[in-house]
Amino acid sequence: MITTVLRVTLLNLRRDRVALLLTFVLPILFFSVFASVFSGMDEAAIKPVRTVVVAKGGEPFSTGLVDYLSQDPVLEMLAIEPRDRAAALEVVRRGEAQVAVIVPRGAGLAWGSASAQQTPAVEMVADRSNPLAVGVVRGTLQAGAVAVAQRLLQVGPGAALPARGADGWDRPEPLRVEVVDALGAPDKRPSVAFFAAGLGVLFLMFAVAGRSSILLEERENGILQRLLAARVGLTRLLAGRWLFLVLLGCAQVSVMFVWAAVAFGLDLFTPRHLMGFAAITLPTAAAAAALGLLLSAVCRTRAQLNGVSVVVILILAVLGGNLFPSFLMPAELRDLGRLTFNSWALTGYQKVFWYEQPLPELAPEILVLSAWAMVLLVAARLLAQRWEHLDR
Amino acid sequence: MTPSQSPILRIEDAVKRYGDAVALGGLSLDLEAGEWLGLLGPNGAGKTTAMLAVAGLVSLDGGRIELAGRPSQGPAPAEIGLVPQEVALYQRLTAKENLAAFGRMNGLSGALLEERVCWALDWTGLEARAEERVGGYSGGMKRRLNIACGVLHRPRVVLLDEPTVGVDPQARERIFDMLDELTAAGTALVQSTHELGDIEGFCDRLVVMDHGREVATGTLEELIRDRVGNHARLTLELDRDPPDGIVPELEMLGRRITGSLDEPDRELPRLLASISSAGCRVVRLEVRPPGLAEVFVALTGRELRE
Repeated sequence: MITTVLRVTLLNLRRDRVALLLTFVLPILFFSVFASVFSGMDEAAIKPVRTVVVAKGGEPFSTGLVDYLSQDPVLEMLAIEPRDRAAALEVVRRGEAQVAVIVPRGAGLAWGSASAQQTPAVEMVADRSNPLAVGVVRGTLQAGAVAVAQRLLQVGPGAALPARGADGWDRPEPLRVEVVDALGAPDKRPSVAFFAAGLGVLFLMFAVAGRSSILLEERENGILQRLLAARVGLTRLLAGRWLFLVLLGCAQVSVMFVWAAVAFGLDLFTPRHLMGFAAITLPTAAAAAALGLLLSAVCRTRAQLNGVSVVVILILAVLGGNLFPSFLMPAELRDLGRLTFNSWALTGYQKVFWYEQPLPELAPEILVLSAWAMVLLVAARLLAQRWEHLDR
Repeated sequence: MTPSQSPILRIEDAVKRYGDAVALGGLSLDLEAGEWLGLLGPNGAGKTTAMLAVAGLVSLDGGRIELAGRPSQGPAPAEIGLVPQEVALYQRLTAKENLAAFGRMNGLSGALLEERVCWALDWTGLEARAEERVGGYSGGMKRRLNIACGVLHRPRVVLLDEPTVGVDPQARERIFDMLDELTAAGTALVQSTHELGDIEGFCDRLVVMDHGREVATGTLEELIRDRVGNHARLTLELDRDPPDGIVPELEMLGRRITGSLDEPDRELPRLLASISSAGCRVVRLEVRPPGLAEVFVALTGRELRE
C-alpha cells in the first residue's frame, strides 16, 4: 500500500513541470547566484569601482599616484570636465561615480619625513551606499602611495621602506586620507530606504501576480464566457484588471513606505521625497501589474500560475537587487539585472531617498518602467487572445 | 420571408472544425419567439459549440447565424443571454452585488438596473438572502442566480448550457418553473443537455444532435412515433416459475418475463389470460411506454463517445 502511495505521488511530481522546476532547478539557480555573490566578494566581484580623480598639483608624487590609480583594473576612471573638486563632487552626488579622489597640491611631498603629519591629506569624496567601494579605493590609494614612494625613493619593489619612527611610518596608513560623505549627514539617508524599496517591490510583484489569478479563476468558472458574451471585450476587461492591480500596487508600496517612515524614521514626508516616491511608485506598480497579467495570460490554471510566478518573481528579485544590494553582484549579473524592471524601480527609489535627486533626474527610470509596463501589457493582451474566442 | 416573419434565431449550415475534428458539420435550426428548444446529444455532439457560436464566442468556419432576421457576427448582441454550464458567479459577492455587476456589464444602469435586480431576486426567490455572499448558497440557489444573471437584461434568446447540473429534484422543478415564466413572456430558450429527464415534458421541441449535425427534430411525441414507434416495454413478475412456451414472443428468466409490446392494449389482456390459465399469478406488472431515452439510443446508438 505504501509503495502504491509512493508511486502515485512520484508520478504526480514527475508530470508537474512547475513543481519539478521549484524542487530542483530553482534552488540550484538561487544557490548559484548567492554563491557567485558571496563567495566572490573579493576584488573581482566588486570591480570596477567608478572613480574620478582630480590632482591639483603637478608634483611627481601626485602625477605618479594618478597614473597608478588609472592603471589599476579595480577602478574604472571616469573623465570629467572641468577637472575640479566641484565637478567631481557632483558626479558622486548624482550616483555616476562612487568615489572622487582629490589629490591636493603638495600631497606626499613630505613623504618619509618627520613632518609627514603636516602634509595635505588626500580627500576621498564617497557615496557611502557602497561601503565596499570606499574600502577598495582607500586600499588602492595606500598601495599606490607605497608604490609611488618606492619609485620616487628608488627603492625596488618589495624592498623595505625606511624604518618606522624616524619618518612617520608608525601611522596606521602611509598616506593621509580623509573620507568625506558626498551626500551630507548619513542619518538623513537611513538604509531603511533600501529595504523598504527592495521588499516593497518584491511583495508588490507577489501581490499583483496573486491577484491577477482572478482572470484564470474567471476562465475556470465560466465568468469569462459570460463577460465576453456580454460584450465587455477582452481589452476592456484586461484594462480594468490592470488598473485595479496598479492601484493595489500603489497602495501596497505606500503602506510599506509610510510604515518605514513612522516606525524607522524614513524621511518620506517632504515635498521632494513625496513627489519622487509617487513618480517612481506609479510606473513601478504599472509594470508589476502588467507582469501579473502576463503571467496569468501565460498560465492555464491557477495552480500553474502560483508555481510559475514564484519562479519568475524570485529570479527577478535576485537579478534586480531586491534581496541584496546590486553592488555585491559580479558585474555580469549586475548588467543582467539592468534588464529587469524592478532594478530600475530600486534605482529610482535610491535616487529619491539616497541621492536626493530632483524629479527631472528620475526621467530615465520613469521612462524605462513605463516602457516595461507597455511591453508587458501588450504581450499579455496578445497572449490572452486565445481566451477571446474559445476555439483558439 | 420578411424580418417580421423570421424566426428569432436561425442557424444555417453551421460548420466548425478543430483541426481534423468536426464540432459542427452543417447544423441548421430555427427558433421561434417564446419557444423552448431542447438540444440533445451525447458528449461531443456539438451542443456547446453551437451555443457558443450563437453567443459569438466561437467563430464558424462555414454557414451563418441570424438573430431576428439580421446576420450575427462577433460578440453576441444584447438579444442574447448566456447561462454557462459552470456556476459563473463571484462567490465572495452577494446575490445583489452579482446581479448588479452582470447587469452593468450587459448595459443596464440607474433605475432600470435597480428594477431588474429586484425582479431577479423575486424571480429566483432569493430576496431574503440577497445580501449574503453567494459562496454560502446551496447548489440550487446558485443555479437559480446563475440563470438570473444571464437573463437580467431581458434578452430575446437565452442559451442555457446544462442549467440544472448537480441540483436536487426540488431545485430542478423550481428552475423549470422559472424558465416556464420566461417562455410565457416571449423569451426563446435553447437548453442543451444530455440529462434526458431535464428535457422530457418541458421543451416545446427537441433537436437531437450527433457528430455536429441535427439527426432528428420534433416534439417528444413526434420523435417517439417516428423513431421508435409506440411499442411499450413490459416487465412481469410471477409467483412461480411458469411452464415453458407460455409466452413464446417474450423473454423468460425464472419468474420474470420481459419484452416489447407493439400494441399493449390488445396484446396485454391475451398475455395475462395465458398466464392465468397456466396457474400462475402476476405479483408485479410494469408497462412502460417508450420515452426519450429510447429515442436517444435509437438515434445516437449505444457506442461510447469519449
